Amino acid sequence: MATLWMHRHIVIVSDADRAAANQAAVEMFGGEAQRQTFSVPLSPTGLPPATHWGCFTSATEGHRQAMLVRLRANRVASARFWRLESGTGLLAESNHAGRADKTGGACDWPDALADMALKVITPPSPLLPGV
Amino acid sequence: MAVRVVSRIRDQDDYLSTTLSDGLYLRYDAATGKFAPAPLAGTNAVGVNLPGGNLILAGGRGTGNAAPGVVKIQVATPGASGSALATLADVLTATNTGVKIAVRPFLAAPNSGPGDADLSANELTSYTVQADKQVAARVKRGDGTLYTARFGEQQAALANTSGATLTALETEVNALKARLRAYGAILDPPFSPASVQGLVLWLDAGQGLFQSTGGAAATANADPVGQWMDQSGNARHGTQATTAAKPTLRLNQVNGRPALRFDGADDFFSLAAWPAGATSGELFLVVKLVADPPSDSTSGLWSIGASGSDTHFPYIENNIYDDCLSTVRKNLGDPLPSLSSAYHIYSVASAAGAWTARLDGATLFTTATNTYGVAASPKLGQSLSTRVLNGHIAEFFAYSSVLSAPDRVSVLTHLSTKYAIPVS
Repeated sequence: MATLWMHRHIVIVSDADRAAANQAAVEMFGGEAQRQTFSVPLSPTGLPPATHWGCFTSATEGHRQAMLVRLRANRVASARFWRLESGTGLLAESNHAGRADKTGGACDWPDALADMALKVITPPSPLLPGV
Repeated sequence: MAVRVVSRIRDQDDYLSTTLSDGLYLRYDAATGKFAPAPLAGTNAVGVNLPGGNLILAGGRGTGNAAPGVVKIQVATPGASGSALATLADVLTATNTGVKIAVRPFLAAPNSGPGDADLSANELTSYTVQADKQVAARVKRGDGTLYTARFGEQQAALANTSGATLTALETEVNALKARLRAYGAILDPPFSPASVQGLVLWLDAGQGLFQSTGGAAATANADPVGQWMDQSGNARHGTQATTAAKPTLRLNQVNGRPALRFDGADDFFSLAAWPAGATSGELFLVVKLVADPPSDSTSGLWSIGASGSDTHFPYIENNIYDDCLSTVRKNLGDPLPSLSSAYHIYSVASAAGAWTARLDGATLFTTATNTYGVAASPKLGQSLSTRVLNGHIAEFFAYSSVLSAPDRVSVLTHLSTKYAIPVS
């Protein structure tokens, strides 16, 4: 049986749009737990403060269409997305200028971060060499 | 689907080897004193008393609570009702195609079984068994003690649909100098983590996956998993309510078995609190990374310790740092095998004054300086901070004590067989 969750969406929004993006996630997926959707802090240097927030989520076709409706309505103006086929991980669609013509190729979370020139902000891990 | 049934009856030298087709079950015929296939009456198997008052035996493939494709053999003491049998049914329930069932219909007086029998005799051949099922025979040693001779468990030929010749392992027989007395074959419950005492948590990617708590089952490739049901019976399920943070089911990842994919961005499970009062423990994890070493942000694995520091599996300079079940994080060094080229069994044992981490059974690090400690809110797939796992987990289970060496060997052997992972 094929999954109904045929898509994987990487979505990155600006810090200013984070609340609106999480609200959209609550509406699309249902439940207050979705307000934690954009939970990965990002910045160009990998240091605080976060300039952007990201998520990497499974999505059904219904979720995909719901997201496009919200994008067309410009509810989260800064949103950049990379839609992957959930079975293969290959890029099916993106609204990022540098990636839009590369559908069918491999794409993953680090590629999206590279497209945006962003890094995940990680706290120091004490007692490790070099940190 | 046909089911092959083999049985030997106490105090009778008859022997039944037959094919039990759909709609038939094994019935003891008091008139002939033999088991024989019979039409399935009612909704499921029924039981009958055996002469001598030993056991009730009944098995069948029914249309009642036995779903299509499910075969149940029920064993209980005389007088037990059908409902009372249900609790034991699960022990001997086998699913999937090619189910092999062998039953030992007498437990009360095993010494008085039929005459001597060689386990390699014809009667114990041509079974069709599931790969993860054990077949065993009760064997009497020369001194009169009984033990269960297991055989077939690790034979590669025992695939789901292939027949296999079952013979006792020569080494086992010779070592014990046993006078083999076969009273019949039994289907032992297959070894599982629950076979070892003290299991507090058992998450297996092959069972108990749901897209959300109380939601639809996750069975298809790429289905998100919001609840990973604890198979230990302690309800320590892995849960994740936020869709974006749910790992996804990936079929056919390791030895034909599934695993959960943690995407390296935001996926993890919350775990229930560890047992109150526990002062030691041992955990086993079947894991494979996407990259070794991972990036800093994807060097997470779990949060099960109490050091206040992140676990790194490994960190960017290749050393593993782990505080699992401890108040102090340890530097385990750089494990030689790549953690991304194959699945590995990572395990940690922790007690007061003893902490040991192993990879595929080989000791990575051990110290006699340790204080047991556990995170108040354990997580799987994410360290204490936001560092996450970029990889796959096929199975994870934990005990509330450090295992004995024989128990650890049993667990490692089981995992090695199940996932085709070589162990030391």
